[in-house]
Amino acid sequence: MFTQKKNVVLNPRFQSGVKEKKMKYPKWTLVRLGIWRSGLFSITFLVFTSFMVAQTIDGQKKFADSLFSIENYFDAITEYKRLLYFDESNRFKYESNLRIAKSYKAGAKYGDALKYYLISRNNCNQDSAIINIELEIIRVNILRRTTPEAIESLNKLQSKYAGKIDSSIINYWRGWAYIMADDWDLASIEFAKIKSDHPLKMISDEVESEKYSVSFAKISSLIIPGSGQVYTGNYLSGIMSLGWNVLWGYLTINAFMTERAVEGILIGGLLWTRFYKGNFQNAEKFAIEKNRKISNKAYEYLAKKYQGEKP
Amino acid sequence: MNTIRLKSISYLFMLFSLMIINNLFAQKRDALLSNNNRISFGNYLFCDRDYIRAIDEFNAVLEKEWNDSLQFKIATSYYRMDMFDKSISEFQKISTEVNLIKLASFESIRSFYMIGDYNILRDKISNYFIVKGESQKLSKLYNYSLLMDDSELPEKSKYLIHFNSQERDKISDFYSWKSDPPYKSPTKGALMSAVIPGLGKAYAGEVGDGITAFLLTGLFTYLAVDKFQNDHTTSGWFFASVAAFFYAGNIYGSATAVQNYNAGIKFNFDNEVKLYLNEKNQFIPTPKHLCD
Amino acid sequence: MRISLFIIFIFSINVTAQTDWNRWEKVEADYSIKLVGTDESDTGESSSSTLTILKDGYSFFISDLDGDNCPFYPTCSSFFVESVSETNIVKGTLMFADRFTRDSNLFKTHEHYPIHVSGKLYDPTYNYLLMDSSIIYHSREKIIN
Repeated sequence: MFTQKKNVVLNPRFQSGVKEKKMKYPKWTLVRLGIWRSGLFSITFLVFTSFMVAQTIDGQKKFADSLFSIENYFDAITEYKRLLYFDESNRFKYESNLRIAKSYKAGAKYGDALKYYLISRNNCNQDSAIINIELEIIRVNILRRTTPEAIESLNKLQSKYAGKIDSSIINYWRGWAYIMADDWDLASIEFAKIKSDHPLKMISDEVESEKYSVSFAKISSLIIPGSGQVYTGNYLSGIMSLGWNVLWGYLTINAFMTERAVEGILIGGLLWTRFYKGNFQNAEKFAIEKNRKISNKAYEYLAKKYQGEKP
Repeated sequence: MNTIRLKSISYLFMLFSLMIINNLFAQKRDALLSNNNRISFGNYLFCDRDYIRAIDEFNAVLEKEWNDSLQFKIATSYYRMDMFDKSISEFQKISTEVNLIKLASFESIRSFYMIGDYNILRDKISNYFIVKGESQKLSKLYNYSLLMDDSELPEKSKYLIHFNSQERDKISDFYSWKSDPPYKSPTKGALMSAVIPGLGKAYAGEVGDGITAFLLTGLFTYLAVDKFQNDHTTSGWFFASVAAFFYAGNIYGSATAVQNYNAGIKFNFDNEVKLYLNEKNQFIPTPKHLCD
Repeated sequence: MRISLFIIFIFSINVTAQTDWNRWEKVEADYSIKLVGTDESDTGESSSSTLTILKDGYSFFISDLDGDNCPFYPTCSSFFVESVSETNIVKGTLMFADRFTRDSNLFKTHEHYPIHVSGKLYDPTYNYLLMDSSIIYHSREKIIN
């Protein structure tokens, strides 16, 4: 590169009086050397700092992930927020927002979970990731029982990504949406589309068959007071209701028969109607309450013992 | 030149080996936990209304070095979460920067107001008067708070002088209401209902109830009279006692209805007074917008 | 009525839950359907035992069977028991007579009562004791529980 003349300067003590001038490098050489050096230094520095930053961000990600895996969700959210704040290259934007959303979901804070799912959806481009997030959003809607939104989203998902998503997944979550909406009939239909002996279909069928018919309870009580209550297993209430209705009915008709119309109207209007109304109100109430208990038993099984995927 | 190249390369090698060694031993995320980074992240959380997390970040910094403005933010966070006792104790910890001490005292007074014990509020303001001499700003709040509990109001002109001309009209109205509330008399209501059943209820604003009371008392009185006239004395007495039952109930109920009416207008007055004070930010200067 | 109550409930949850102002932990999955509010008033006032027995008997034989007629939260029978146990039989009867009148209000002008979580109108005994100091005026917008 350079051709230089270099005077070999030996130990000056052995020099004669003539001092040899130390060969100076030409200015341009020094300048080029300086540039080369500083360039090398700055490149090293940049590489070093970005390497360190990347290591720091990676370390932060690892820490946040560790908190998430031990289910310490509140602190995990703090660390993911810290990661998002300092991650200028946005390498982990999608993942962090997703994890924050999942943490909120685990703490049953569904509004916040949805907010972060939507943010992470806006940060991903691949169809598979978008489908994933859409399903997560649907699952949160299922959990907080906003069924119309869930069903609509499922239908949209099915039509938009027809080839990329298995229809059994759609049916599975649609079934769950119906389960959480206490509509076991429709849920059974959905699970049947996946497999005719799907375990959730069996459970839905069982629940549906155990349940009482509210309209049957109400109508039978309209015809024979007390029968609806007996149908739902509240025998005492049914018998007493029957008794009262018979009593007031007899007194009212008796009053009319014996030309005491005014009293007949009073008794019939005030007392008989009251107990008659109470009778079928009770039948309906008992049927609904019994059905709620049946559903809750199924819900408890699903929450605690069912091994399949849950919302 | 070869020596120079050699020098540079060896220098680079040293640098790289330093990096690697540093990397191996350092806690990788520690850089994010430096004071400056924590402050920056804490400010972001504060502006995002994520107060608990912001407080944690600021406290972590304060453990290493004291900083009054961070302490101010911590106290403000507690205030914004409606934890007023905590905010008061946190504001009191501010002790170095003169400006912040003053603002913190104001915010403490504001917190005392939010707690709702106005005697204590006035007591604290008096102490502040005596000690700091910031009388002007707090005299308005002091005097306004007299409208909010059972305190005695000073003479009107002496009272209104604390407020400026724009405020005087409204506050004068409040003063008039407070010193002479337009309550109705429960005794009058009871007497009205004794003369005409249900009239007292209508006087208290419950016209529907009044008409019902009138009809019930009337119906059973009529039935009683009718039975007596037909010599059915037992059923006569039965209906008479039912009528008496409703009549007495109506008198009692009118008195209580008037009392509830009075409670209602007082409630509305108290609300209006509070709303106005909130509009005026308790007559205390608000701290500069903390998030920008 | 129930639907609007439920919507108010959900809305209030959304408004306050926007930020984590309390530390929280993971919640176990629970899919059960919960009942909002209770039907029967359940205060601790049960000092007068004969009265409570009578009231229980009345509930069992009559009011459980004649339907949902009372629009108020402490039902008229519980109101009666409470008012007698808090004051005396005379005052309690007067309070009950007044309550019965208000219950029979044909015009159903009930806008001035606040709403209880159970969906009924809130009408507590302490507002009718003839003591100014015991009256608590509840804002109509608040839902009492």
